[in-house]
Amino acid sequence: MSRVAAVTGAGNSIGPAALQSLEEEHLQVGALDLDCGAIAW
Amino acid sequence: MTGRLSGKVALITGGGAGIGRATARLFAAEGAAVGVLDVDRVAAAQVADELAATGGRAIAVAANVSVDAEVREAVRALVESLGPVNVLYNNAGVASTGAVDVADEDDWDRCMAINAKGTFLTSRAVLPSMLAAGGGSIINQASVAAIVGVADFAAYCAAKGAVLALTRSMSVDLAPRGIRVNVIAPGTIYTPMMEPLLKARGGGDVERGLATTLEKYPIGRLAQPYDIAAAALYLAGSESAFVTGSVLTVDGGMTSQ
Repeated sequence: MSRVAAVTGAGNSIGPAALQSLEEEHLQVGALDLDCGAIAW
Repeated sequence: MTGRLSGKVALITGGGAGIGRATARLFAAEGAAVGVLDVDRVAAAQVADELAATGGRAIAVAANVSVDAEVREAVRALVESLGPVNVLYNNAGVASTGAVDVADEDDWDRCMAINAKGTFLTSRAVLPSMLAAGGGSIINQASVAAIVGVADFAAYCAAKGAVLALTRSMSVDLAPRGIRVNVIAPGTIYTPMMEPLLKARGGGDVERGLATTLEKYPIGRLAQPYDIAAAALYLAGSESAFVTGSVLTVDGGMTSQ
């Protein structure tokens, strides 16, 4: 079973790098940010 | 007593009971004029009356420390009556039980508002008169819960952690202006505020909760309000003239383990 990660504040600063790292580890990632448009996939 | 606070005006929030009341008595005995601030007007008045009856100068002011307008009015009344504040003890606090998965949101907000925001608002309201008086001492009240994790106490740990961090920030900002800011981290005291936690910890039995709590204290007893008041006196007076930004644990060794 794949693991699921949630990242808050995913749209800027450390968030995008965290998303990328988690995806590289093959986790399914849920990204949360006050500004949805800032989240880059 | 030796008049260690002679000529000083001290404001003690949460002064109507527990640590606040013990500190009000000690400060007055050491010569301070004391403003007893409490959300409970009757409790504040009883303490102020007691101090006045034993020869002290004291007034009671009622305010919820998380409401800016109430705090400002209380400080205004205090300064008008006793003069500029030299010592502020941000002691008012509330507890909140529950681990983070069950903690109630309203409870969280109230805990942060009284403990953390109240410290900010009261300090801000007092600063003009303290600065005008040439400086002073602000003593904040944290807890061992700001230093170690205490089970089923999430909001309280967070709020007291905020007070500890705020103290360091305030000490850096205010030292050049002649104001020292320190924080006391008391261990558990059996005050009314602690009863909900002790009850929860004891599975509904306060006595069992007390026994469980006592096991965490190497010194073999819980704190008494006077233990904390004595620490506050040290931080209020000139003996601590070079002490600012410090965390003074008064916890019977609880956090040393």
